[in-house]
Amino acid sequence: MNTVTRTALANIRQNKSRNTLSGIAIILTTLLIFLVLTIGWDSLSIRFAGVNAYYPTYHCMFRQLPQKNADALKSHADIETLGLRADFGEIVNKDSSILMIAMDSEALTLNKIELEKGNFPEKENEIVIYPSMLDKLGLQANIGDEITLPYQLYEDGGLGWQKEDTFRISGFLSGSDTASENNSYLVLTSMEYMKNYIPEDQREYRVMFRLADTKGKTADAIEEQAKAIGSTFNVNEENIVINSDYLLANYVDPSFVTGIIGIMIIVILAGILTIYSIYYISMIPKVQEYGKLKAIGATRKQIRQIVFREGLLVTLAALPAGFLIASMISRPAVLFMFQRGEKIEGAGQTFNQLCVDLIRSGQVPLLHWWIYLLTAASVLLTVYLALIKPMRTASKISPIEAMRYQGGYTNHRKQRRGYHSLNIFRLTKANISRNKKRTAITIITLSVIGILFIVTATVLSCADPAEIARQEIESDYNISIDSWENDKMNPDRSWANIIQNNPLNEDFIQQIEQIDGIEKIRSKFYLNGILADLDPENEITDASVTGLDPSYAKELENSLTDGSITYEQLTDGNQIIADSSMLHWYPELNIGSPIRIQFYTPDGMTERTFKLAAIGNFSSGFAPANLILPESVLEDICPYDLTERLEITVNSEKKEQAYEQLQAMADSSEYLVTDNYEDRLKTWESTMALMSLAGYAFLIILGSVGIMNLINTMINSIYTRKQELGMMQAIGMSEKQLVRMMQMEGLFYTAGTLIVSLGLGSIAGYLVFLYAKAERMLNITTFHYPVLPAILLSVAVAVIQLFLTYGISKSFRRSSLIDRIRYSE
Amino acid sequence: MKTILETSDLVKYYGSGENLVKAIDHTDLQIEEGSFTAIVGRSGSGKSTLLHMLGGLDRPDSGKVFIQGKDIFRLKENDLAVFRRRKIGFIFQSYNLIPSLNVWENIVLPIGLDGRKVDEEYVSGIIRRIGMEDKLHSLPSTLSGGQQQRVAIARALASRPAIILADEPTGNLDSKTELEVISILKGCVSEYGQTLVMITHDETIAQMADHMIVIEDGKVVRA
Repeated sequence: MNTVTRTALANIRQNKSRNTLSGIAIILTTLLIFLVLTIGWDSLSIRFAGVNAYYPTYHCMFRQLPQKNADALKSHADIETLGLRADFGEIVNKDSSILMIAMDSEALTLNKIELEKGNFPEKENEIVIYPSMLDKLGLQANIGDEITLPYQLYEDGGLGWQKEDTFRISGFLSGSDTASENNSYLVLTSMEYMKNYIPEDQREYRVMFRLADTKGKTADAIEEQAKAIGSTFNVNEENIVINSDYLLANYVDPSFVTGIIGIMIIVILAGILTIYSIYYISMIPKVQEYGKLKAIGATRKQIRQIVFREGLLVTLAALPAGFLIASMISRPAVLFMFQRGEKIEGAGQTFNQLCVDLIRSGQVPLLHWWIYLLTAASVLLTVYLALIKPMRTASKISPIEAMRYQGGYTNHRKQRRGYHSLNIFRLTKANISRNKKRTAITIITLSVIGILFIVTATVLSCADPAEIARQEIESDYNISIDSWENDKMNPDRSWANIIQNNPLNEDFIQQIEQIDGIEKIRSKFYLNGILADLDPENEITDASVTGLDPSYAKELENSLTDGSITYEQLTDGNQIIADSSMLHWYPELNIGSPIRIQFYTPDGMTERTFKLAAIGNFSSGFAPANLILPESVLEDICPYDLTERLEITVNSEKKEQAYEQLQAMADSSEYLVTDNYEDRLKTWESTMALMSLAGYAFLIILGSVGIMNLINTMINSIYTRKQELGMMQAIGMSEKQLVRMMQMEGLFYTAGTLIVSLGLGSIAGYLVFLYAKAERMLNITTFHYPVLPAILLSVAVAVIQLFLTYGISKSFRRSSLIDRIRYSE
Repeated sequence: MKTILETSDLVKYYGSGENLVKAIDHTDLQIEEGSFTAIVGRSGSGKSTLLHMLGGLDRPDSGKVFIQGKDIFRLKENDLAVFRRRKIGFIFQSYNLIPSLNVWENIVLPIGLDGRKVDEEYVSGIIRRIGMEDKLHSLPSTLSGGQQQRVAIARALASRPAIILADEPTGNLDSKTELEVISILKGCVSEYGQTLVMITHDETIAQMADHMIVIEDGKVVRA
């Protein structure tokens, strides 16, 4: 060990309090960086493992491929594996859908088709089915038994005549319950069976394949390559299906990486600020020592190295400690996140359950060597950056300057106006203003984390679950029609088709009115078409129009943000209202702009041109479409039953029963879907609770880094003035006065930190709110100041400060007055 | 003359066993009001410890210190601080001015700590006496050693203490400044009727005192 390292080691022993604090700050920084990386990465990798366990593993699927092309694709150089599936008929059944499909062994593997029992079909007339399908068809059979099924083959784009055949059951498919829940089944036959009945020129395959050499490629690149192959085989864009869930799960998503890097930069900056501040502040008493070292012959470079190695040695001690804690916390933290997610109702629930199982079973590795490496590198970088300035200060100082160094106090002030008489308050003030730069650095570094806290709290408090839920659903319960356009497989889903026989008819509404507890039903109407001038190719968005009845007049008029028009005036049918989201897509739109729309109606396209009368901010619950007209105008354009949804208000005491009956009614038609306020609220409450928890946990750790800074500031401001304070006591300052002075100083830093944090934090929070509102993030619409978090922050800072002052002044008073006076001698 | 300061059987030991240092070893002494007493002795003889005891900065292992007849160590910590700022003025070797306060503020600090009003005429008189009237707004870092020590003397005098305790006040000064400071100090003390106890190892200065107490190994060997 050379002299420089030995001196650095000796310094570590001597500057115990500073190094303990910077050590803790380094541990916390390590912890944060590690946890951000691990939780971020793990939550993805678990999700992906879940996807891999759940979803098919092909990259892309081409639909409606003839036999010739399917065979050609098999030998394509870019394709690694390829599986074929042919949907060739339907079992005749009135109230469920039962497809007849054939799959080759690759398709079975790629689709993760698993059997509960038995074998996949080998002989021509063998089939596998869901056991629940037998119940549905009222049959009883076991593996090896033969059953007779009536079916229709697909012929010339439609269904052929009914036939009947006898099949032998070779196995049962797993997932039987899900199939019966969805009321959708399949009969899996052998490829030979399909080939026997469908002539080669009529066969249509779904070809699923994995591309070769995809390692390291992005999801977008894979998608592009697959599409390129598709176009060489003349596969239509709509017949190319990218397995996005699987691709995203297995190939890098650049936006995720950006997010993680963003958070890491925040953590590293906070770490740099804190460690820098700790070293900068504790530099003052050390500088004289560095001066002495210089006086006895240390070079600049050696002094720099002494400072650097001291920091490095502390880091080397703190890093493993940080890793140890982080490694222990990671698993429970990740598990906790998914367990909370599991409680959130909705589509993700089952999936989260699966993820929790994956974590518990230890199938997904949670700790990664590269995260250790990356964290270590980031922490070292943080410490190095934090030390640059202290290293320079220490090395540049001349021995003579060093003896007099007061931490930048060598400022050029020679005079001070001062006070005629002094008291403790003025004494405190004089001390704080002694080194304004140091005071400012301290308050700013302390405030940075406070500002972050307030900004996060603002976002979280603006995202009020009740408000978001209310944005999404206007009434207690709604029943709406599930329609979509341009689906060749499901042309019945198009709106023009549905309105010819609308399930939400008068009769249906009357039935709802009969239900006990129903207080009010309001209807909303709908018509869609093409924005003939703005988007003639229909590439950006449909012209979707919500029709409102006169009872919505007031609400409508009150939501306008630009321009003005009454409901009454709208009924003329020449003017229209647009949602502000339209401006997002068509920034050229102005009040007065003409909007030409070609509406889809059962009788063909009908064209109308409207003048844009006003723009408003409408929630998706109020107006699901992006344009609004009175109901009467819509009916004038298209004289069919245009009812698209029913908004139902239910007596709060009878909700449970009423909801059940409403659900039962909606279940009577496959075109109807339901939604209710309580479900939405519950989902948002759980989501926000999880987000708040993660957000605040992050801030609390980050806050702890800041507290190290505060402790260091307090300790230093007192210990560097040990002799000075002792002197004041010698000339008559009482212990009480001393404690009061320390408290006042603490109070000053507390107040300063809070004023800057709350002030700048509130401004920044409001700006973030405006941004979130404009971008429709989390459905934020109304500003809510985070009162409670702001109070909590203030109380926490004040309490911590109070305890610190108490603790430090107590330890300070433990040394005798004589020691304090002699401190520097 | 009246005795203003008195010690009785004062003892202060540091360490134990072989490392035992008898800093003050059963010391009795009396100091008369209005006198100038010099305490002399070699380095490590215990004179600074004695001075700290006399000023109530440190507590003895046993024995008593009486100031104006009052046993100061029977006072509670806080009362002792109040007593100290009213009755005793300290002057240290290394001046010990508060760097963030200007000359005037440093001088009136003990009065402020005591919550009293500044007797402007009196303080101005002292400042004139030490010749610092044109430096009132200067910060200590801009002053020379001699100037700083003069401010320290003014600070010790400002609250009109009965006793001034000075611990080698000229130890850091050159001989010309030394004499200047001592004569100012002596002049002030006699002018304001205060008692001065000064530690020094300078024979010349000791000769200027009314009395001389010689300390060796914690014991008074000559008074």
